[in-house]
Amino acid sequence: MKVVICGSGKVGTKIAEALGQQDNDLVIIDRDADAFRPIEAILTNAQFISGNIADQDVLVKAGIEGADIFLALTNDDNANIFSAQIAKELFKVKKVIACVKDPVRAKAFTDELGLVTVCGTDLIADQIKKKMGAK
Amino acid sequence: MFVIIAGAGRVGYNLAKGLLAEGHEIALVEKDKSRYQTLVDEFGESVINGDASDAFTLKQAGANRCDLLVATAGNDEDNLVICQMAKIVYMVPKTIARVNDPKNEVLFTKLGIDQTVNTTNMISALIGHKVGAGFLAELLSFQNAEIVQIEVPEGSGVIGKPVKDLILPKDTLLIASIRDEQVQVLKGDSTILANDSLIALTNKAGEEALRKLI
Repeated sequence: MKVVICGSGKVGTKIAEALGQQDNDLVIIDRDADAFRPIEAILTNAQFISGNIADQDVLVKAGIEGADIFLALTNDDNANIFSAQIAKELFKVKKVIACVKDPVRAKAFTDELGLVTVCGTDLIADQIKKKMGAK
Repeated sequence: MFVIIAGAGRVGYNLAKGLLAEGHEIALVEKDKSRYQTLVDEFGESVINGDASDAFTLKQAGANRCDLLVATAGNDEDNLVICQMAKIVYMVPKTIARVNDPKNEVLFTKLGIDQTVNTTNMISALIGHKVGAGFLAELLSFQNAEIVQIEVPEGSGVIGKPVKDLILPKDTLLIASIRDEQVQVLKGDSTILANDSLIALTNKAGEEALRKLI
Protein backbone atom coordinates (compact mmCIF):
# COMPACT_ATOMS: atom_id res chain seq x y z
CA MET A 1 0.00 0.00 0.00
CA LYS A 2 1.08 3.52 -0.63
CA VAL A 3 1.22 5.55 2.58
CA VAL A 4 1.97 9.25 2.97
CA ILE A 5 3.09 10.19 6.49
CA CYS A 6 3.25 13.87 7.46
CA GLY A 7 5.63 14.55 10.30
CA SER A 8 8.65 12.56 11.36
CA GLY A 9 8.49 13.33 15.05
CA LYS A 10 8.11 10.58 17.63
CA VAL A 11 4.69 9.38 16.45
CA GLY A 12 5.50 9.63 12.74
CA THR A 13 8.77 7.76 13.22
CA LYS A 14 7.14 4.98 15.19
CA ILE A 15 4.36 4.48 12.65
CA ALA A 16 6.82 4.63 9.74
CA GLU A 17 8.96 2.02 11.41
CA ALA A 18 6.01 -0.33 11.85
CA LEU A 19 4.68 0.21 8.32
CA GLY A 20 8.14 -0.11 6.83
CA GLN A 21 8.47 -3.65 8.12
CA GLN A 22 5.53 -4.68 5.95
CA ASP A 23 5.51 -4.34 2.21
CA ASN A 24 4.44 -0.71 2.00
CA ASP A 25 5.44 2.14 -0.22
CA LEU A 26 6.22 4.95 2.26
CA VAL A 27 6.64 8.66 1.71
CA ILE A 28 7.49 10.78 4.73
CA ILE A 29 7.16 14.58 4.74
CA ASP A 30 8.64 16.92 7.31
CA ARG A 31 9.31 20.63 7.35
CA ASP A 32 12.74 19.97 8.77
CA ALA A 33 14.96 17.57 6.81
CA ASP A 34 17.08 17.00 9.94
CA ALA A 35 14.09 15.34 11.57
CA PHE A 36 14.46 12.45 9.09
CA ARG A 37 17.79 11.32 10.49
CA PRO A 38 16.64 8.73 13.05
CA ILE A 39 14.16 7.14 10.64
CA GLU A 40 16.39 7.34 7.58
CA ALA A 41 18.85 5.06 9.30
CA ILE A 42 16.17 2.38 9.77
CA LEU A 43 14.10 2.74 6.61
CA THR A 44 16.23 2.54 3.53
CA ASN A 45 13.44 2.14 1.01
CA ALA A 46 11.19 5.06 2.07
CA GLN A 47 11.06 8.38 0.27
CA PHE A 48 11.75 11.54 2.28
CA ILE A 49 10.48 14.97 1.28
CA SER A 50 11.16 18.17 3.17
CA GLY A 51 8.41 20.75 2.86
CA ASN A 52 5.25 22.24 4.31
CA ILE A 53 2.42 19.71 4.61
CA ALA A 54 -0.12 22.50 4.12
CA ASP A 55 1.25 23.16 0.63
CA GLN A 56 -0.65 21.22 -2.04
CA ASP A 57 2.42 21.16 -4.30
CA VAL A 58 4.41 19.38 -1.60
CA LEU A 59 1.60 16.84 -1.11
CA VAL A 60 1.42 16.20 -4.86
CA LYS A 61 5.17 15.72 -4.96
CA ALA A 62 4.75 13.16 -2.18
CA GLY A 63 2.28 11.28 -4.37
CA ILE A 64 -0.96 12.06 -2.55
CA GLU A 65 -2.81 11.41 -5.81
CA GLY A 66 -2.22 7.68 -5.70
CA ALA A 67 -2.05 7.22 -1.94
CA ASP A 68 -4.13 4.59 -0.11
CA ILE A 69 -3.49 6.04 3.34
CA PHE A 70 -2.71 9.59 4.47
CA LEU A 71 -1.52 10.22 8.01
CA ALA A 72 -1.17 13.78 9.36
CA LEU A 73 0.97 13.39 12.46
CA THR A 74 2.83 16.66 12.96
CA ASN A 75 2.72 18.75 16.15
CA ASP A 76 0.60 21.40 14.48
CA ASP A 77 -3.13 20.67 14.89
CA ASN A 78 -4.26 23.09 12.21
CA ALA A 79 -1.71 21.88 9.66
CA ASN A 80 -2.82 18.30 10.34
CA ILE A 81 -6.52 19.12 10.00
CA PHE A 82 -5.84 21.18 6.88
CA SER A 83 -3.75 18.60 5.03
CA ALA A 84 -6.12 15.80 6.08
CA GLN A 85 -9.01 17.70 4.51
CA ILE A 86 -6.99 18.24 1.32
CA ALA A 87 -6.35 14.49 1.20
CA LYS A 88 -9.98 13.61 1.91
CA GLU A 89 -11.84 16.25 -0.07
CA LEU A 90 -9.58 17.08 -3.00
CA PHE A 91 -7.63 13.87 -3.56
CA LYS A 92 -10.23 11.38 -2.30
CA VAL A 93 -7.72 9.34 -0.31
CA LYS A 94 -9.68 6.43 1.21
CA LYS A 95 -8.10 6.36 4.64
CA VAL A 96 -7.15 9.66 6.24
CA ILE A 97 -6.16 10.08 9.89
CA ALA A 98 -5.17 13.31 11.64
CA CYS A 99 -3.55 13.71 15.06
CA VAL A 100 -5.20 16.61 16.91
CA LYS A 101 -3.96 17.50 20.38
CA ASP A 102 -6.81 19.86 21.24
CA PRO A 103 -9.75 17.64 22.37
CA VAL A 104 -12.38 20.24 21.41
CA ARG A 105 -11.00 20.59 17.92
CA ALA A 106 -10.67 16.81 17.55
CA LYS A 107 -14.29 16.26 18.58
CA ALA A 108 -15.63 19.09 16.41
CA PHE A 109 -14.00 17.80 13.23
CA THR A 110 -14.88 14.18 13.98
CA ASP A 111 -18.53 14.78 14.86
CA GLU A 112 -19.38 17.46 12.33
CA LEU A 113 -17.15 16.75 9.36
CA GLY A 114 -16.44 13.06 9.67
CA LEU A 115 -12.70 13.45 9.87
CA VAL A 116 -10.92 10.55 11.55
CA THR A 117 -8.87 12.06 14.36
CA VAL A 118 -6.70 10.72 17.14
CA CYS A 119 -6.46 12.96 20.17
CA GLY A 120 -3.29 12.31 22.15
CA THR A 121 -4.48 14.49 25.02
CA ASP A 122 -7.63 12.40 25.52
CA LEU A 123 -5.66 9.14 25.31
CA ILE A 124 -3.09 10.28 27.85
CA ALA A 125 -5.76 11.61 30.23
CA ASP A 126 -7.66 8.31 29.98
CA GLN A 127 -4.52 6.34 30.72
CA ILE A 128 -3.72 8.48 33.75
CA LYS A 129 -7.27 8.13 35.06
CA LYS A 130 -7.07 4.34 34.58
CA LYS A 131 -3.74 4.08 36.35
CA MET A 132 -5.07 6.12 39.26
CA GLY A 133 -7.92 3.63 39.52
CA ALA A 134 -10.52 6.30 38.93
CA LYS A 135 -13.65 5.67 36.87
CA MET B 1 -22.73 44.44 13.18
CA PHE B 2 -20.41 42.52 15.53
CA VAL B 3 -17.34 41.19 13.72
CA ILE B 4 -14.55 38.98 15.06
CA ILE B 5 -11.24 39.46 13.29
CA ALA B 6 -8.77 36.63 13.76
CA GLY B 7 -5.21 37.80 13.26
CA ALA B 8 -4.00 41.33 13.93
CA GLY B 9 -1.36 41.59 11.26
CA ARG B 10 -1.49 44.44 8.77
CA VAL B 11 -4.69 43.15 7.16
CA GLY B 12 -6.52 42.43 10.42
CA TYR B 13 -5.38 45.63 12.08
CA ASN B 14 -6.52 47.88 9.25
CA LEU B 15 -9.80 46.01 8.89
CA ALA B 16 -10.45 46.49 12.62
CA LYS B 17 -9.79 50.20 12.39
CA GLY B 18 -12.00 50.57 9.34
CA LEU B 19 -14.91 48.68 10.92
CA LEU B 20 -14.67 50.68 14.15
CA ALA B 21 -14.70 53.91 12.16
CA GLU B 22 -17.91 52.76 10.51
CA GLY B 23 -19.47 52.18 13.91
CA HIS B 24 -19.29 48.38 14.02
CA GLU B 25 -18.43 46.41 17.12
CA ILE B 26 -15.28 44.31 16.80
CA ALA B 27 -13.18 41.76 18.63
CA LEU B 28 -9.63 41.41 17.40
CA VAL B 29 -7.84 38.16 18.25
CA GLU B 30 -4.06 38.02 18.19
CA LYS B 31 -1.98 34.95 18.97
CA ASP B 32 1.35 36.67 19.52
CA LYS B 33 1.66 38.10 23.04
CA SER B 34 4.00 40.97 22.19
CA ARG B 35 1.98 42.01 19.15
CA TYR B 36 -1.12 41.87 21.37
CA GLN B 37 0.48 44.19 23.92
CA THR B 38 1.15 46.84 21.31
CA LEU B 39 -2.56 46.84 20.43
CA VAL B 40 -4.09 47.08 23.91
CA ASP B 41 -3.70 50.86 24.16
CA GLU B 42 -5.55 51.36 20.93
CA PHE B 43 -8.25 48.70 21.13
CA GLY B 44 -8.65 48.15 24.89
CA GLU B 45 -10.85 45.18 25.73
CA SER B 46 -11.67 44.61 22.07
CA VAL B 47 -8.33 42.91 21.53
CA ILE B 48 -7.89 39.39 22.89
CA ASN B 49 -4.70 37.42 23.22
CA GLY B 50 -5.14 33.81 22.13
CA ASP B 51 -5.31 31.27 19.35
CA ALA B 52 -8.56 31.81 17.41
CA SER B 53 -8.71 28.16 16.39
CA ASP B 54 -9.11 27.35 20.07
CA ALA B 55 -12.77 27.15 21.12
CA PHE B 56 -12.12 28.90 24.43
CA THR B 57 -10.50 31.91 22.73
CA LEU B 58 -13.37 32.09 20.25
CA LYS B 59 -15.82 32.14 23.13
CA GLN B 60 -13.86 34.89 24.89
CA ALA B 61 -14.02 36.91 21.70
CA GLY B 62 -17.81 36.49 21.67
CA ALA B 63 -18.18 33.94 18.86
CA ASN B 64 -21.57 32.82 20.17
CA ARG B 65 -23.09 36.20 19.36
CA CYS B 66 -21.04 37.51 16.43
CA ASP B 67 -22.51 38.19 12.99
CA LEU B 68 -19.35 37.61 11.04
CA LEU B 69 -15.87 36.18 11.54
CA VAL B 70 -12.99 37.18 9.31
CA ALA B 71 -9.77 35.14 9.42
CA THR B 72 -6.83 37.20 8.20
CA ALA B 73 -3.78 35.18 9.23
CA GLY B 74 -0.83 34.77 6.92
CA ASN B 75 -1.20 31.02 6.69
CA ASP B 76 -4.10 29.15 5.19
CA GLU B 77 -4.26 26.23 7.60
CA ASP B 78 -5.02 28.57 10.49
CA ASN B 79 -7.57 30.58 8.51
CA LEU B 80 -9.47 27.49 7.40
CA VAL B 81 -9.58 25.85 10.82
CA ILE B 82 -10.55 29.12 12.54
CA CYS B 83 -13.52 29.56 10.19
CA GLN B 84 -14.54 25.92 10.50
CA MET B 85 -14.38 26.02 14.32
CA ALA B 86 -16.44 29.22 14.36
CA LYS B 87 -19.08 27.53 12.22
CA ILE B 88 -19.10 24.13 13.89
CA VAL B 89 -18.82 25.12 17.54
CA TYR B 90 -20.50 28.53 17.62
CA MET B 91 -22.70 28.46 14.51
CA VAL B 92 -21.28 31.79 13.36
CA PRO B 93 -23.60 32.80 10.49
CA LYS B 94 -20.90 34.02 8.13
CA THR B 95 -17.18 33.49 7.77
CA ILE B 96 -14.70 35.13 5.43
CA ALA B 97 -11.17 33.80 5.05
CA ARG B 98 -8.08 35.34 3.60
CA VAL B 99 -6.54 32.79 1.24
CA ASN B 100 -2.81 33.22 0.84
CA ASP B 101 -2.15 30.40 -1.61
CA PRO B 102 -4.54 30.61 -4.61
CA LYS B 103 -4.48 26.81 -4.92
CA ASN B 104 -6.37 26.55 -1.64
CA GLU B 105 -9.38 28.55 -2.74
CA VAL B 106 -11.25 25.50 -4.04
CA LEU B 107 -10.78 23.72 -0.72
CA PHE B 108 -12.07 26.68 1.29
CA THR B 109 -15.17 27.04 -0.86
CA LYS B 110 -15.80 23.31 -0.81
CA LEU B 111 -15.59 23.23 2.97
CA GLY B 112 -18.26 25.88 3.40
CA ILE B 113 -16.30 29.05 4.03
CA ASP B 114 -18.77 31.69 2.85
CA GLN B 115 -16.36 33.98 1.16
CA THR B 116 -12.66 34.00 0.39
CA VAL B 117 -10.38 36.92 -0.25
CA ASN B 118 -7.38 35.92 -2.23
CA THR B 119 -4.67 38.44 -1.48
CA THR B 120 -2.12 36.86 -3.82
CA ASN B 121 -4.53 37.09 -6.76
CA MET B 122 -5.48 40.63 -5.84
CA ILE B 123 -1.87 41.76 -5.88
CA SER B 124 -1.27 40.03 -9.20
CA ALA B 125 -4.48 41.67 -10.45
CA LEU B 126 -3.15 45.09 -9.56
CA ILE B 127 0.17 44.36 -11.22
CA GLY B 128 -1.62 42.84 -14.21
CA HIS B 129 -3.66 46.00 -14.50
CA LYS B 130 -0.42 47.92 -14.86
CA VAL B 131 0.91 45.37 -17.35
CA GLY B 132 -2.25 45.93 -19.37
CA ALA B 133 -4.25 44.45 -22.21
CA GLY B 134 -5.94 41.08 -22.17
CA PHE B 135 -5.07 40.29 -18.57
CA LEU B 136 -7.94 38.78 -16.63
CA ALA B 137 -7.73 39.03 -12.87
CA GLU B 138 -10.00 37.63 -10.24
CA LEU B 139 -10.93 40.29 -7.70
CA LEU B 140 -13.34 38.41 -5.49
CA SER B 141 -14.86 34.96 -5.39
CA PHE B 142 -17.87 33.69 -3.53
CA GLN B 143 -19.85 30.44 -3.76
CA ASN B 144 -19.46 29.42 -7.41
CA ALA B 145 -19.13 32.92 -8.83
CA GLU B 146 -16.39 35.50 -9.11
CA ILE B 147 -15.85 39.14 -9.95
CA VAL B 148 -13.07 39.63 -12.48
CA GLN B 149 -11.33 42.54 -14.10
CA ILE B 150 -10.15 42.43 -17.71
CA GLU B 151 -8.45 44.98 -19.90
CA VAL B 152 -9.74 45.50 -23.44
CA PRO B 153 -6.79 45.31 -25.86
CA GLU B 154 -6.49 47.40 -29.04
CA GLY B 155 -8.17 45.59 -31.93
CA SER B 156 -10.51 43.58 -29.72
CA GLY B 157 -13.75 42.50 -31.43
CA VAL B 158 -15.86 44.07 -28.70
CA ILE B 159 -14.68 47.64 -29.29
CA GLY B 160 -17.40 50.03 -30.42
CA LYS B 161 -20.19 47.53 -29.87
CA PRO B 162 -23.06 48.14 -27.46
CA VAL B 163 -23.03 45.72 -24.55
CA LYS B 164 -26.43 44.27 -25.51
CA ASP B 165 -25.00 42.99 -28.82
CA LEU B 166 -22.22 41.00 -27.20
CA ILE B 167 -22.64 37.25 -26.87
CA LEU B 168 -21.41 36.67 -23.36
CA PRO B 169 -20.57 33.29 -21.82
CA LYS B 170 -23.31 31.65 -19.73
CA ASP B 171 -23.89 33.21 -16.31
CA THR B 172 -21.66 36.15 -17.12
CA LEU B 173 -22.57 39.80 -16.74
CA LEU B 174 -20.56 42.91 -17.56
CA ILE B 175 -21.04 45.21 -14.60
CA ALA B 176 -18.87 48.27 -15.05
CA SER B 177 -16.05 49.75 -17.02
CA ILE B 178 -13.17 51.84 -15.79
CA ARG B 179 -12.06 54.49 -18.26
CA ASP B 180 -9.69 57.32 -17.36
CA GLU B 181 -9.97 56.37 -13.68
CA GLN B 182 -13.75 56.81 -13.80
CA VAL B 183 -16.02 53.87 -13.04
CA GLN B 184 -19.25 53.69 -14.98
CA VAL B 185 -21.99 51.12 -14.70
CA LEU B 186 -22.52 49.35 -18.02
CA LYS B 187 -26.00 49.32 -19.53
CA GLY B 188 -27.26 47.62 -22.67
CA ASP B 189 -26.47 50.58 -24.89
CA SER B 190 -23.05 51.40 -23.36
CA THR B 191 -20.18 50.89 -25.76
CA ILE B 192 -16.76 49.53 -24.95
CA LEU B 193 -13.55 51.26 -26.00
CA ALA B 194 -9.98 50.02 -26.29
CA ASN B 195 -8.07 50.16 -22.99
CA ASP B 196 -11.27 50.08 -20.95
CA SER B 197 -10.95 47.95 -17.89
CA LEU B 198 -14.10 45.85 -17.53
CA ILE B 199 -15.50 44.47 -14.31
CA ALA B 200 -17.57 41.34 -14.82
CA LEU B 201 -19.48 38.79 -12.81
CA THR B 202 -18.71 35.30 -14.07
CA ASN B 203 -17.65 31.83 -12.92
CA LYS B 204 -14.71 29.49 -13.49
CA ALA B 205 -16.24 28.14 -16.69
CA GLY B 206 -17.07 31.57 -18.08
CA GLU B 207 -13.67 33.05 -17.31
CA GLU B 208 -11.82 31.51 -20.26
CA ALA B 209 -14.65 32.25 -22.73
CA LEU B 210 -14.75 35.84 -21.51
CA ARG B 211 -11.01 36.22 -21.97
CA LYS B 212 -11.36 34.93 -25.56
CA LEU B 213 -14.27 37.25 -26.29
CA ILE B 214 -12.49 40.34 -25.04
